[in-house]
Amino acid sequence: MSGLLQGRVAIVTGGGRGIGRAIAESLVAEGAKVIVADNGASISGDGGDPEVARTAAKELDNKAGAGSALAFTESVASPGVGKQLVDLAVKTFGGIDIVVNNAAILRDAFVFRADPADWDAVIRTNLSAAFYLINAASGVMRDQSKAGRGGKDGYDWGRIVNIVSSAGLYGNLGQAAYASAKAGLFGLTRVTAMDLARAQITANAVAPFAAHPRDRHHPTRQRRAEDLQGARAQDRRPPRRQPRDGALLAGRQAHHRPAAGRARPRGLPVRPAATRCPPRSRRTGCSGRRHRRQARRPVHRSHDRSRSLQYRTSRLRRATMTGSIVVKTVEELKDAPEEYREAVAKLVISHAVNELYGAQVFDEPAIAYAPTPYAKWLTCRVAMEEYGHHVRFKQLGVQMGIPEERMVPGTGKRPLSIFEFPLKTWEEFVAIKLLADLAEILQVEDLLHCTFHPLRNLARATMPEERFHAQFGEDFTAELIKTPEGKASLQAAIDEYFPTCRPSSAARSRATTRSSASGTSSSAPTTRCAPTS
Amino acid sequence: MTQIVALPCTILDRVTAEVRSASWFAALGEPLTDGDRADAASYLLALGFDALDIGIAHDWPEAEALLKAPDWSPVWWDREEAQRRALLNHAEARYPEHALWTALTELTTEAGELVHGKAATAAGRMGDAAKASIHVAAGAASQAVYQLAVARLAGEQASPFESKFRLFAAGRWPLGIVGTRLILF
Repeated sequence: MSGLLQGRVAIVTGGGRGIGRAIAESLVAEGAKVIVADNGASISGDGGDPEVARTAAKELDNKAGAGSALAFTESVASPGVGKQLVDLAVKTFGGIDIVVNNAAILRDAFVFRADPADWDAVIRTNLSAAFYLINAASGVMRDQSKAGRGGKDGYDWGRIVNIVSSAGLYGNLGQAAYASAKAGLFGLTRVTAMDLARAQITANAVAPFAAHPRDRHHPTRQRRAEDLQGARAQDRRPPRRQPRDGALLAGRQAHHRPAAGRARPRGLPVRPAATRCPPRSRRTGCSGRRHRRQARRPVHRSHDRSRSLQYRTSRLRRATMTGSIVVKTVEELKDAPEEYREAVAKLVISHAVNELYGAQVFDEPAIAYAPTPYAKWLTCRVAMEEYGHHVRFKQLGVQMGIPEERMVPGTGKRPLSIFEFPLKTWEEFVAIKLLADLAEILQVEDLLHCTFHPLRNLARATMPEERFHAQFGEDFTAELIKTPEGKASLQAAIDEYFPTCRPSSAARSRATTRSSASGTSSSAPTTRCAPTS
Repeated sequence: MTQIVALPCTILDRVTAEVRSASWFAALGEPLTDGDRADAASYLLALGFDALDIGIAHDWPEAEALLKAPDWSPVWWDREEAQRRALLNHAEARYPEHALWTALTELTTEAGELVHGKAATAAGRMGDAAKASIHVAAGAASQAVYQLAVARLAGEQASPFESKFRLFAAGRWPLGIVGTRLILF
């Protein structure tokens, strides 16, 4: 037991058997208190056996100590029960940190023979129940956030994990209701992640493909399993997953700490709550062109979805998941579907386009502003590496046969770009490296699993450098904030380049009103840079 | 008015060859030789400094501390930069912009990768370098290559960047002026 989840409270629906049981065991093993919610119904949702949840809770208690688990034996498929469950968690364990929506039933039938009543039952248990519980839990989680449950570092907890299925992505014969519910659960996960991002609560979906569920002896399942075994003998698919595997994934999601403390749904194409990043400038030494484009977009995409980098990347990622397309060399690319080739080309171009010549990095104002020779030469090298990233992508583009003119800014444009926001201080450069380079990492991270292997390999070569650049920002930030003056200068730089970190004008107005009323200083509070420890 | 002429490839080809054959960071921490002292003296003279003592850094932590020392000389850095800018202006007036910057970019990109690897090798051999210090060394060496190329393209044979590059080529790393001494690693 690592104690990663010590002090956390979890609810696992369908936690009495199969994958849910394994998830509950995994969470308890990490130190969490768990409510095992399971009414003990059959796989079709009929009947019920309260002993299923009670037995599971008892065995968890035996393993991890008394008081580790609690049984909840009602069906979760009605609106009021979600609140009952959350109230039970708060009353018994003092709060709710993790929700795992795992409960599901099956009523398979061909769509032309399906009974609408079965459809309703499946949707209610597999999709609506998840909403009921999230609806009840997320309000409490947000309140906990405001009450500082996370301690001195601020609340960055709250994990919602929905167990989905490949049937929801690709469909499955005779599973109209089940697949629709799981597809709906994907959507619910995405929106939940967006809605709760500000409260640092993440929402993720885990699809444990072909696990041994508790219905392993279900006749339909058994036939399907036999079919799969036959197919596997021919195409050497990966070995069948075990419930423990799904639990492991869900457990990882439950204690996954988002990069940079940002609540970021992983594995789903949801943009993190990105702040406005600085524009590309040869002065900044960071490739801000992409950031500028991102900054102009709202966090929730409402336009031109097909052209967004995130969308294209998610398409590539989907191809990775299915394994339907794998391109190992540039030469093989010509045999890939046109849509795939174009998507890859656009990704490469978006990283290759650059407005400056590499040797001009030695004129970066940041080098002049750097306070010591150490910082100056380090800035030289970091700026060179940033430029080198563009060079690598451009070289790959050339190998792929992308016309040169697609990888340079508009024709007739001078290679020396204008500086919309020229750097004025060293602190501004440090702030940009600290924050904007994290955005770079997120973008390159997307490519690490690209099915076009030359691009994947390029991303892998680039990632360590990107991480070093963000570390550069972190190290100099730590240096700067040692003095009140340095801290104030850095805060000013952050306010300049990341203005969305500031409170809204309405909030500023409220703060001013409060300050005036209490006779204190009228200056509006801004997001403070927390000292690193 | 300076007449724009074609970029002389032979100059940059020669710089490239010198970069490839240099003993980058091979003599870090070693005792100074007469040749090192002579190059250091030429470097100081070309920058307009009176004779200064030559100091030595013995290992990477000491070099890092000296590079962060509060009494490092901004005058030294500014004089280098002033000369580099003057030479660059001269080169820019002399050669087509695209050809000039493309050639410099190719040179510095190749040199950057090369010297970074050499710095990492030296750090691995000496065993006490911080990861960031390897980047610092690579930045310093890349800048020296760039400065040398600019000076050569500007037709300046007596610039401080000649002797600075010679120090790098001999395996040293001139860390700059700290207090009243020019420090070599």
